[in-house]
Amino acid sequence: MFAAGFSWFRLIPAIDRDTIMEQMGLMQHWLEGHEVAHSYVYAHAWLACFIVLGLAMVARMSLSKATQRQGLEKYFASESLDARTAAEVYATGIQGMMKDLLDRKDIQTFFPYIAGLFAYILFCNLQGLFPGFLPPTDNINTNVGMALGSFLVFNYIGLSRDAVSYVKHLMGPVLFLAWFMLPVEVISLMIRPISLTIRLTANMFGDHQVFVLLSEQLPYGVPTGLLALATMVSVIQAFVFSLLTVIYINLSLPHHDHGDEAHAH
Amino acid sequence: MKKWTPVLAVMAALLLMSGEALAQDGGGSNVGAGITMGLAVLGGALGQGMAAKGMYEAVSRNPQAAGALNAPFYVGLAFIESLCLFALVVAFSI
Repeated sequence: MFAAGFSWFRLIPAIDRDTIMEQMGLMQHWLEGHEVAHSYVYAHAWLACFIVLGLAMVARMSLSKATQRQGLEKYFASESLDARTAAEVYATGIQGMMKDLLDRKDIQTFFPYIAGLFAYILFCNLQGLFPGFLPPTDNINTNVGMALGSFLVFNYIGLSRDAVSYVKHLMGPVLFLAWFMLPVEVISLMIRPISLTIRLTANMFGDHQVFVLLSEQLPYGVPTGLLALATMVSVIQAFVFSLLTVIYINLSLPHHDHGDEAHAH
Repeated sequence: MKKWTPVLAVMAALLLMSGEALAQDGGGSNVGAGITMGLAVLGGALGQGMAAKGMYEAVSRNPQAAGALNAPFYVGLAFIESLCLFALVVAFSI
């Protein structure tokens, strides 16, 4: 779904390139009869990237400065809410999300990807709340990229750790059902990035459309109460995307069968 | 049979009226999208109601569990709602 609208970035002609090209008749529509994604979506995505990277750099510099203090003061937490404290709370929260599903070494392996994914989706979604900005996640292109990234991550982990048991897991429990189970399991594997994409896109797109339609009907400024629901939906959808990625990684890792648990304890 | 009478009556009404409804020549109106989204939201609302029912029963049995159950409750609601939104995608494509 390709939603369009006004955005502050469209006032810059270099970013509003696609609209200008359409008006000049130079646009090649490769999807006949459909709108194409416009170029100003990428400006919003870059803004979210810069916010995440800026906060991360400020937090990291503050942490480096704090660890250079002498003696016992090195371990003190800062008393006010600055970027370092927020990053520590955030990292603890993400690790709490991953703790039930992955073991300690895997948490350290996947933490950069999951934490970056959550922060990026969060700041992308939250841009839709401010007047004049569009969330880049209401466009399907942004979400396909992220979902393909998650798809590649969990397939690569499954195939690199233990490729034989990964494929054998897809064939089901009993051997003579493998001719039936393998296509079904492969289809359900393929549907995972599709469902991740469509869930996030449709949530953001539908949210924005509901707000637009209500604003047309009700007097000016009345639907502002919907922004609370929109905030909740933004945070929850970012959480659901990253939690599902962690669950898919957990499902791809070689886990022990039921027979081994009898030997463990 | 008596329990199913309202459901059968609604189904019969839908079957008899649907041909005429879809043959309407309303300029710009889209009955297919409306029916798609309406049916999807029917199932989705029932599902979310069952999730909320489970949550209330659990909290009423064990009020201290409310803090721990808060986050999984909203995550479950988001999963159920995403199924309705798959139908929204179809409704917008029609």
